[in-house]
Amino acid sequence: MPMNRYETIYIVNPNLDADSLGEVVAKFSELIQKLKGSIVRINEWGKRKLAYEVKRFDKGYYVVLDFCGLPGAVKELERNLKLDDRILKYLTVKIDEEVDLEDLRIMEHEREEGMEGGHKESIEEE
Amino acid sequence: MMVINHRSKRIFIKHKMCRFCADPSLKIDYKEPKTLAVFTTERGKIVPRRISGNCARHQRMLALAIKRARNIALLPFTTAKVRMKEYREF
Repeated sequence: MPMNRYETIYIVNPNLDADSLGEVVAKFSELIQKLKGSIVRINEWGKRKLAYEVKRFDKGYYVVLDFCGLPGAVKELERNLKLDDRILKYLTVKIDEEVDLEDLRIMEHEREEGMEGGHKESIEEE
Repeated sequence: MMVINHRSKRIFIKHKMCRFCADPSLKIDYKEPKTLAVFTTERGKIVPRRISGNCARHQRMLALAIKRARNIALLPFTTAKVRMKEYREF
């Protein structure tokens, strides 16, 4: 079965303590693995001001979950995000169709290595 | 990608150019509200193409990105703070 690459951003209740936040993030990453998906990257942006109030909150803890999985996995993930009342909002975007996991791993590796090089370039431009 | 405004034959001959075509390193990403905010008005509306000078393709991509950013509360749908306050007092 061909897998697609998705990116889900979800906003967690900002008033939770660090342990509970970690638990929430772990919960949804485990869920992806349970649904036979594979996580590319988890990017926690931390607390951010929301552009408008969501459920009476003016701040939110943003987490970006970049993963590969079957379309059914997204459905199940979104269902779980909806049920969890610690999640204020979520958005899933399909980045790529029918990705090869091996290619992606190599790309991610190169990206991490390339970040240092890219940083140097920007300094030179200045 | 140069558009000369023929109507204003006076002093104004603006050379509008799509910023994203001119600079390929500029990326349209809904996760970067700072870049997107440049193309919205103070009220939070998307700036039309005739003002921003973007090409059709990039304007489409930009509009989609702004709408996504709004959905996840990175950009406002609207900024009508005065009206919001009045509404809450009810």
